[in-house]
Amino acid sequence: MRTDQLIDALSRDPAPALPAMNALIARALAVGGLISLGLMLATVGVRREMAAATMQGWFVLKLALVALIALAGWKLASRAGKPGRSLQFGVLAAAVAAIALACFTDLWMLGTPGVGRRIIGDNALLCIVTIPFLSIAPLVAGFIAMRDGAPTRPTQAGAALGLLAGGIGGVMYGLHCTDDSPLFVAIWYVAGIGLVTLAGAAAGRRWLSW
Amino acid sequence: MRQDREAEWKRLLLAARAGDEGAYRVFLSDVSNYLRGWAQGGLRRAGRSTAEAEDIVQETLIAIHTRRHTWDPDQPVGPWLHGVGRHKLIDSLRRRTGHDHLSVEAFAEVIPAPAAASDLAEGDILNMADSLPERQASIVRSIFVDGRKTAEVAATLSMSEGAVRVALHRALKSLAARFGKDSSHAH
Repeated sequence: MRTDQLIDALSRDPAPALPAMNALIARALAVGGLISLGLMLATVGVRREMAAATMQGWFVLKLALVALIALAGWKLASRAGKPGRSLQFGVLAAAVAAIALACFTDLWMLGTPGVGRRIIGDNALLCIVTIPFLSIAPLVAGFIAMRDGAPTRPTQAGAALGLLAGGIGGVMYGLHCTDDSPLFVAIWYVAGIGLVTLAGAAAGRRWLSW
Repeated sequence: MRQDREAEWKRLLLAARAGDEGAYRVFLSDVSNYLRGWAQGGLRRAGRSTAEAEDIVQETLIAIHTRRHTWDPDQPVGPWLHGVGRHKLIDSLRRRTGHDHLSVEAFAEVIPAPAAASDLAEGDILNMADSLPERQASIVRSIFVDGRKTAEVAATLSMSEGAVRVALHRALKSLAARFGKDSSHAH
């Protein structure tokens, strides 16, 4: 076939059929996030003294830190699907700094007594198992959206989606979990989200190349 | 990338988004000349005949077309085009030459090469439409071959116009996946 024939054909369909990348990913996350929320309510459920917990600074801080990780994932993932755009690591750096700062605040305000208890928490194992479980729906949804994108670095794009999905799963689990210390977040939440990020990177390599 | 080219490409792509077929045709032709220069250079450096350049050009054009929604209007066209083009060129050069580390020159240094009469791709993506499911095949043929309007095709198939355009997009994506494989095996 001659190239001008191909160009003639393609030019009959000038406007893109799909919405912009950010809209594609946002739509996928809305669906994945709702499924994740439903699964959280159906399995572990929201912590019993929820109303009282929202009055506590440590609980709100925990959710904010995990949400910041999700936001970092969003910033990276939304760029990863668009060629010619450099990745934005600013929010990720801010999330790391905020977690570190929160840990120092915890140690400074509450001191060393009971620090082991705050680190180990009530249920560390449930945390690193449930966060990946609640991340599956947003991760799959994000991958479906990203396959419509043009990730020139599939492994990185998959990792970014993993970070984003892990952050969402982390927020959902955070509504159940009663371990509110930043020290717990820095170890167990980060470990759970890290597992999802690694899984995303491996899956990206496999399913996001084009 | 020269500044005036950037401004021109941006103007053409914005017009294409608004449905201007003529502007989109000019954009694709102009881009194809750059891709040809680029592909020929890459093949030459890999010690290959430039006969395969046209397959690479077409494969990359189809990739640009099916991924055109990944360009944001507030982003310059050059780097986006370079990103898609580089990804596709390296991929198809690798498949054809077996080399893993191919140098692809910067887009800005490419000398555009207009098509010669003899420049023909082995693959024919429009003929391949026959292998698609019936409805997709008929959408591809009606719009790309017969030049019918999307609205017209939508009315005939009693589908919405948006659904026809998404079906066309999906059809082209699956054809593109096969096009790359078939044309690199042909050699």
